[in-house]
Amino acid sequence: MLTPQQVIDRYYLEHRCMLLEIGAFLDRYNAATEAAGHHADNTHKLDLLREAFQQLQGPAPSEGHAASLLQLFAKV
Amino acid sequence: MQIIQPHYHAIARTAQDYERMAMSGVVAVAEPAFWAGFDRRYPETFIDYFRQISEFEPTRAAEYGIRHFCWVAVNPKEAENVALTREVLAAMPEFFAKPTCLGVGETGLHKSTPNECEALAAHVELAMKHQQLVLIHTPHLSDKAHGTRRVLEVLAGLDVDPQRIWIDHVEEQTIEPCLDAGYWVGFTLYPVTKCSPRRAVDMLEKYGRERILVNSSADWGPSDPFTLQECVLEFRRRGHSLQEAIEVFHNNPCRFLGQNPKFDIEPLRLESVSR
Repeated sequence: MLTPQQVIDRYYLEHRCMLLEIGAFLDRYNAATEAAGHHADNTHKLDLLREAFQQLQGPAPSEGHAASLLQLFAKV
Repeated sequence: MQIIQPHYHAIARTAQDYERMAMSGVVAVAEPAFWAGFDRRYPETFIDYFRQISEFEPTRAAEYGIRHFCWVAVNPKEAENVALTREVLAAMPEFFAKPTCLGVGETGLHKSTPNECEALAAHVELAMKHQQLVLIHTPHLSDKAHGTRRVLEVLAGLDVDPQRIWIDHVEEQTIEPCLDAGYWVGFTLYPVTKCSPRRAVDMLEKYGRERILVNSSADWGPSDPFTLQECVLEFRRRGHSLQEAIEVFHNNPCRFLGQNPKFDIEPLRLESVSR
């Protein structure tokens, strides 16, 4: 098993990249709503992603972040 | 669709990459001088490297019907060696005369030290003196914003033609000041540490396609020449026309690189013909 420091150092850049993609995805949605003049008719998937961001900011649930998120995304 | 790969480190890649690029529409690549993964100690090492990218590599690319062009420079990571930089700069005009050399690159900044800034200025001044194009590397990751500002400050203190200078590796936080100052900019598509194909298309949609180049760099590190084709696909999947894609991925490189008459590939326009 990796040490805590190894986990951070080995995976930091990869997850930095993933977060940039999420940021760009939200920017893309905002640009699309601006161009269209309205929001999407069904924002359920976007709402779930926002709920996931909230979950990740809190302490890890007993089953772990990944399992918890999978249960959340099962709502789609 | 015909594609030009304007920033490609061919000597770090295999012949299979050339073959696959040719099969996916790449008609030309331009190879800037790059860091070797270690700091070189001798000017002669650079001179042989410049010979490799200006004499040998075009023959390897030609096996697959791809035109190969190059740039020469001391990489910013090696600019701390002031004596070496001075000697290599003195040898560079010989390479400007090569039939496939387009100019000075990639110069730029890595840690934005005083020696790097002086080397950048010396490279740009040499290029302007010899009517060469310039390709400028901007730093990675946490140094990106500061390094790009320093690049713009160094350029602002020189007598340059912004239309002949391409500032590469721009991202969302650095594109605007570079475009506003009149320079060309480049998006470099890396799997992890630079821009992604989707983010590149986002920026194309936000800023338009004028004075923008897209490349995958593709060196000896984690990189992939086909991120460029991924970007073409993403661009087309969002509904942009084939001609618009040609403008970005073929014609813009023609427009910038074609300022050097050695780059003689002309922009393309689709034309319908009757059956």
